[in-house]
Amino acid sequence: MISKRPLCPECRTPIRETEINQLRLTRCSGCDHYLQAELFPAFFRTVGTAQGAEDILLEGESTCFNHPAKKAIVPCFGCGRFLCSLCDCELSGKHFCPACLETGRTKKKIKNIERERTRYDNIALSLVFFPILLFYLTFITAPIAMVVAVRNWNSPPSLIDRSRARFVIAIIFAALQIVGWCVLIIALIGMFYAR
Amino acid sequence: MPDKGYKRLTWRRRRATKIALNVPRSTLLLGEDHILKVESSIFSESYRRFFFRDIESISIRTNRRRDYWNMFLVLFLILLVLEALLDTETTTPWLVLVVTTASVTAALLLINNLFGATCDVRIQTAVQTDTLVPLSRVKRAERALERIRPLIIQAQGQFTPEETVLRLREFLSPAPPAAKPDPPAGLSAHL
Repeated sequence: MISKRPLCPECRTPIRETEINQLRLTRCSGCDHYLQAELFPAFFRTVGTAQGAEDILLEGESTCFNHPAKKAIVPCFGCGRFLCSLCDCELSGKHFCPACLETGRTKKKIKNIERERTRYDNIALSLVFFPILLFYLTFITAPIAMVVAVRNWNSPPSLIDRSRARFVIAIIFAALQIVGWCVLIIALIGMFYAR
Repeated sequence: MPDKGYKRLTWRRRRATKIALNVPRSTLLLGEDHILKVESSIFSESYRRFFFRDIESISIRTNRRRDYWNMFLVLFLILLVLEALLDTETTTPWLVLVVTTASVTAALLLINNLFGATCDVRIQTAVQTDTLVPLSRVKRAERALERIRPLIIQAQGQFTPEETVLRLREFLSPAPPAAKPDPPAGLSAHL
């Protein structure tokens, strides 16, 4: 549980009330560092009791898909099923059932609850460039890099950098390495038969 | 270029420590209704969202990181200068290297002081407190806060400093003790 008294983050000295929301740095009496603290109305918000789902009173009223005895209050944005207040999961103004929320998270269809992404472009780029240090490894890693880049071309990119430039570079260099190995193998076979 | 729906809050990606290279780099993006903190390593990135309606407090606290870097750079510069001045048997290429390194060190020292004081910025919600690592300088933190503050006010409303003081006093004052209920009449007769 987060402490509800505003404290200096380092020395835990309570911040004086007159120094809050001043929009300027003031000296902390505990650690002598300068501190600027801003509190917003959410700090004073108290958490209310969760509202229980209502029982159905009239025959013919819509019921929750998961709780047939409870009144439905909203349809799920993902699948359209009716939800009671217990099943309703609100996210950015939309209402989802728990199953759609979990599917949205695992299949990355709902961006706002996505917690991580794999950087396949960096993986492909690393497979192309790092093995160059041990030249022979590129015989194995170049095709793998090509497969990784092509297979994950449409995967969600990084939220910071949307471009596919790394994929393009990985594909080009992987192709060059594969072509290089093919030329080398053909040359070796040619030399073998020439003897 | 960041994803559609996001704007960069900071242009810098920063590691929490410059020494360990496996520590993820941190970037801040501004969404429609939240701040997105992205921690990216080579093969993955993880996200943490702070919705404007849930932000309870933001604090900026100065630290001594700039002073430590100043001490290190000054000592290194002194060593290089002494080496350039006192080493009489030095060759020209070595002297060039020493002077170049000293120049770079002096430039870093100047930049470190021009950028201003270093700080830690902490953001608090009801369930977590986190450090916004990219906001490592006071000037940068204040510029970022100037962009975030109106969005938080739009989502939550605003108290004046006087209202905040009053609310804080009410919030922190202990609740009056609940009155003990009178025992039932029959019970006291038994006692």
